[in-house]
Amino acid sequence: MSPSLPFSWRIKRLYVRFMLAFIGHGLAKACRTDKVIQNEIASLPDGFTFSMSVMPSGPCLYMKKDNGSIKPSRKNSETKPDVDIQFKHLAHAFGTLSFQEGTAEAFARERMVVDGDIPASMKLVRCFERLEVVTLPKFIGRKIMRHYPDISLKEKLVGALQIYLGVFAGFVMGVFVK
Amino acid sequence: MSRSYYEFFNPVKIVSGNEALEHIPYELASLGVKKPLIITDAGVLNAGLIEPVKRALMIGEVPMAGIYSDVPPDSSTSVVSIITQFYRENGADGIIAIGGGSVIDTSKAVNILVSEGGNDLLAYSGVGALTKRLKPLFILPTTAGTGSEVTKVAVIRDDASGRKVPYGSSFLMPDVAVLDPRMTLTLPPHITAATAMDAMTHAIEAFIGTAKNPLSDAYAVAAIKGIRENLIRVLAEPKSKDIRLKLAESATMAGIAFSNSMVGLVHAIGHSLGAITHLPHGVCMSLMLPYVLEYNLPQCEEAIGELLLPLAGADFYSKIPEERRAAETIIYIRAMRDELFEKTGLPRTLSESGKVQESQLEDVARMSVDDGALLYNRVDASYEQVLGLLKSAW
Repeated sequence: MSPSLPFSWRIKRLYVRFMLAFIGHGLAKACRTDKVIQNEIASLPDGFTFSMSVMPSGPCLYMKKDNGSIKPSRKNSETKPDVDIQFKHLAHAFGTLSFQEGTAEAFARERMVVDGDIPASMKLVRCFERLEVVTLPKFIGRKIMRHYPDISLKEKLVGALQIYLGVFAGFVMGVFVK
Repeated sequence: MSRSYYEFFNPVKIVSGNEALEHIPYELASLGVKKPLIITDAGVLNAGLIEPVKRALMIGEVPMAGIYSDVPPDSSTSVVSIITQFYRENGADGIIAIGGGSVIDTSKAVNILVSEGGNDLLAYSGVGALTKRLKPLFILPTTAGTGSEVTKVAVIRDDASGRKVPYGSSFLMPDVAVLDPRMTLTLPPHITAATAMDAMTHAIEAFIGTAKNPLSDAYAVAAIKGIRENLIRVLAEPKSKDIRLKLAESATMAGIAFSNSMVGLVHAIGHSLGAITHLPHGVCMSLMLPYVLEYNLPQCEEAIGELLLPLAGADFYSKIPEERRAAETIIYIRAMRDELFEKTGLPRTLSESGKVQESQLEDVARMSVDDGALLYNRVDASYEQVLGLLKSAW
C-alpha cells in the first residue's frame, strides 16, 4: 500500500478490491444458480479468461472458465486474457463499483479500456448487469441500468441469497483479488 | 453534480476542396515524405482515379515508390504482409491510400508494420498496443460515407483463423485526409446513396447515443444538414463537383462525430447483417435506420426531435410543435429512404434487397446483441427485441 495515499483513497481502494472479489465469487456462484448468467457463460469456450483491473497496478480480478464454470483464479502474467477490462483510474472504478454510474454510462464516459474479444465482453456485461438485478435493491438497479427487467420478488430474493452465500463461501475459501 | 464527462480527439488535417490533390506534394514535404507508396484497389485504378493523383505528384516533383492496386474488398493479414514487403523493397517513406473502407483499413495496418517493424500484425491487435507515432499516412476517400479517414480503428481478417481482428489506437489516424471532388465524381448513384446513408447513420447515432457530447453534436448536426441538402441534388447532378465535395465533407464530419461518440443499435444490427448476409453496409444502415429510431423513440425523443432542424430545415421545423418533432423526424427519414429507392433502387426492406433469407434473421439477431455498438445505444436490446426489429424491416 502506498504510504502517500490519503486515508479516504485507501478506503476506496479497499472497497474496489472487495467489490471485485464480490463480482468474482458472485459470478462463480451465479453461473451455477442463475439461468441468465448460466446461458451467457455456457456460450464462452472452456479456458476463457477475463481480467478486470484498475490502472496502473491497482486491484485486479482475474477469472477463468474451466469445466463449464467460471471462477476467480491466479492471474497468469504471461498470457493475455481473452477480455481485458481496465479502469483508467481508481476514482472511475470506485464510481462504477459503488453504483454511481452504470456499466453503459461508464463505457460512454470512457472510464475504462476494453481490449480483446468484444462479443465475449458483451456477454460479460450482461452477466454483470444480471448480478446487479439480482443482488441490488430495485431502486439502485433502475437508476444505473438502461433497462431493468421484470423479476419476481421470490426470484430476486432466492437468487440474491444464493449469490451472497456463494460470495461468503468464496471469501472463507480465500480471496483471489490482488 | 452531474457525472458528465467526454473525450474528443481529431488530429487529422483535412485538406478539402477543388484542386485539393495538388496540395498533396506540399503536405508530403511538410511531413518529410520523399517517396510515398500508393495503396488502392482495382476498381479505383480502372475508374482512372489514380491519374489525377499521379499527375499532381509528378508536377509537384514527388517520385512514387510504387502503386499497389490489388487490395481485395475483404482484406487480410496476407495482403497486409505483401504490401509491407512491397513498401520496404521500394524504399517508401509514407503511404497514400486511395479508396474505400478496405483500402483505408489495409493501409492503416500496413502502416503499423512498416513503422513498428516485423511481420506479425496480430501482435498489435486490440487497443493500446501502439505507443508511438507511425509513418505519415494520407487518405483520399473515394466514397462519401465510411468516415474511415478520420477514425482510429482498422479491421483486418486473420488468414490463419478467419477471424476479423480489430486494431484500435489514436496512432492509426492518418496525418492528412484529402477531400477532392474528383475522387467521388464517378461514383454510381446507388453507391452514392448507400454510402451517404451510412454517413447519415453515423451522424444520427452519434447524436442520439449515450456518448454524445457538445463537440461531436456540432459535427453530427453539420453532417446531417450537409447530407440532407446534397444527397438528392447529387443524384440529379452527379457531375457537379461542388455538390460532390459538400457530400464528402459531410461524410467526414459524420466520421469525426461517430469516432468520438460511437454508433449504436443500427450499426450493431448492420455489422451482423453484413457479416452473415453480405448485404452492403450502407444498405443495411439505410434499411434499419427508421426502425431503430422508432425503437429508440421513447428514450430519445428530445434528441430525435432536435434532428428535425438539420434534416428538414428551419421553415418546416418551426411549424412543427415540439411534441411532434421526433415523430416527424422519423417520417422524414422514411420519406428520404423511399425517395432513394425511387431514384437509385436502394432497397427499403430486407426482403427487397434480395440478399437476405428470412431463416438468417435469428443468427443476425444473436450476433447483434454481442456487438459492442449496442452498449452505446440509449435503449438496451435483447435478442427478441432485435429479432422483432429485423422482422419489422423484412
